[in-house]
Amino acid sequence: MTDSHLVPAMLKEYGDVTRVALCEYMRPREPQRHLYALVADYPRRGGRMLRPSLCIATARAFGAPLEEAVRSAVALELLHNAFLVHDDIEDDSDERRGRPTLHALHGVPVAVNVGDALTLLGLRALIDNRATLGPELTLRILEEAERMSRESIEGQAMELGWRRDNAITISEADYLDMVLKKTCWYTTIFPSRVGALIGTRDGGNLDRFIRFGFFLGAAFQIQDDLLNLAGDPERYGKELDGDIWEGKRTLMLIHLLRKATPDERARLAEFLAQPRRQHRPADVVWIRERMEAYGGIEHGRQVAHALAGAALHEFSLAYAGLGDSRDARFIQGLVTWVLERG
Amino acid sequence: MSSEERKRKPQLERTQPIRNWSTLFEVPQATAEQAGAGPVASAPEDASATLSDVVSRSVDLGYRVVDEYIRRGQQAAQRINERSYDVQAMTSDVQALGARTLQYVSDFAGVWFDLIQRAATDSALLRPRAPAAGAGAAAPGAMGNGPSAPVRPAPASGETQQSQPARVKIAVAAAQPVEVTLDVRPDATGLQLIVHALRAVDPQKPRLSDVGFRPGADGQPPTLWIKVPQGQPAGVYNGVIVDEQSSRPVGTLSVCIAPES
Repeated sequence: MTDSHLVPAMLKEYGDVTRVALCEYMRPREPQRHLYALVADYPRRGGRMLRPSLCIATARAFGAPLEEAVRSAVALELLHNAFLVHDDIEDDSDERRGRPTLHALHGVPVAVNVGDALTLLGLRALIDNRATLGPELTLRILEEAERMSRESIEGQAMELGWRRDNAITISEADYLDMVLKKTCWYTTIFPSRVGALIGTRDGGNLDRFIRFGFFLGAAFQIQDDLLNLAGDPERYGKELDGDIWEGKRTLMLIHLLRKATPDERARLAEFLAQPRRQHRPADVVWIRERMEAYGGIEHGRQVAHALAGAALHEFSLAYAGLGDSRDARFIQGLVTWVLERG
Repeated sequence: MSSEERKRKPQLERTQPIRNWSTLFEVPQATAEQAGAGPVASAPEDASATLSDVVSRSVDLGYRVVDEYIRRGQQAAQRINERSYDVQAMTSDVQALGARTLQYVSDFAGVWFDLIQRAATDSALLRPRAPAAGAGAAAPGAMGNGPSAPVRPAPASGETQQSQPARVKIAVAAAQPVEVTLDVRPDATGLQLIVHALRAVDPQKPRLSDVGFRPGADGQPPTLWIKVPQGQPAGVYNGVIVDEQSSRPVGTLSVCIAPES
């Protein structure tokens, strides 16, 4: 199998394993209508299964059997969906994976509660690790989960704060700092660190997975933001230009804020100060067009590719000495996959 | 070679290196404008020069961000991790972990707190796993209307006699699929157990009253029998298991009845 086919095939393989194990936490029970039926909604809408697959593959690359990593993979998917539910509320998003968001369907109070339940189910899955991993490693992974949650919430607070205060002088360093916390920790750093903990039983020097996870996760996030501007609407699953509508401080918007003329910057600042519901389509089109004109989209692509290159370098250090394996090739292949996905 | 033909480095207006992180990707706007570049430069910049520049600058910036982050983390870890991870420290860490987690989970805080507190105070966490009978999941033999099956979690290595779970057989008679979750405390072994009629969350649903324990003979575990009447509404029915002599609760029983197909 060529590497270009390996990544989708293994995402499906490990994704399917995770989905089956996930069913144990999605059983129908009361209160069904206003909680557990809705808890299962986002996980059943699909998804790429990047996080659980990276966790399982890392554990296996370091020598652990698959079943030792499955519950952590399930926890990752549950926690990811919990974040999505709350993110959609905080961003006032309309669509998620091609369907209306949970709060759009059922209201904010019910959706907040569902997000909380998904968080707890994720923690339950991590506690259930005791059966296969023993108490010490289970506790160690719980500590990692606590840190991951804290980092993600801090990153989210940074981004929400920028929007609330209508910050327009954000630097790329600020942006990467926010992405490191908000996206990278739970998308790539935590899955690879937990996989390494399971595979090695102590993790060794886990800092190397921060570097690898940061570069991979940042490339992933920038590519995700590029897809929001220029993706295939059929495959993307979220509303195109949704980030502009939401006033999200993406690398491309930060680039535009720096490149714009004073008049344009004033217009941008006025737009960003308004709540989403007051935004006009004409303004969104204008911002999109200005991004293109100033080369912001091409700039974003170049930065994503550069960071992916650094991720490949960090991969060779973090996964050094493991020899060639299907799992190691999959993890390495993820670096180019994040840039190539449509 | 005449002096006109020689390439000369342009005279820079700045007199020192630009060390501001925010300018790593590109020349700062003020400098660009001073140099005569118009602010509305809609044409893409020189592709080859820009690509190389952006790649090196963004990787450099990325390393600065992540290395600074790791440095801060190492400093914090040095302060925090001076404690040793003996058994007592682990217990207090679990409690601290539970307390911190409370901040992130609002609506379910009570439930989660109970969970972590139990994990922290239950010495079972600090030993190889010793779950209660059928805890947290239905026993394989307890689904549907199949024959009775003993509920016995797989033994963990190093399990002590003290943590042996109570053994119970389950016999279910039902016309529709049924899932039984039984949680009996390990110290309930040998007690005379009773269970009262199971109730659904919805008070309109009739109770599941044909349920009870039959003592085991010759050292055999007791049998929990459950008969689900025809037409019993689907739902989850819960009840408490009680020691008949002391009336002390020693476990819980949950029966999930699926809709009739």
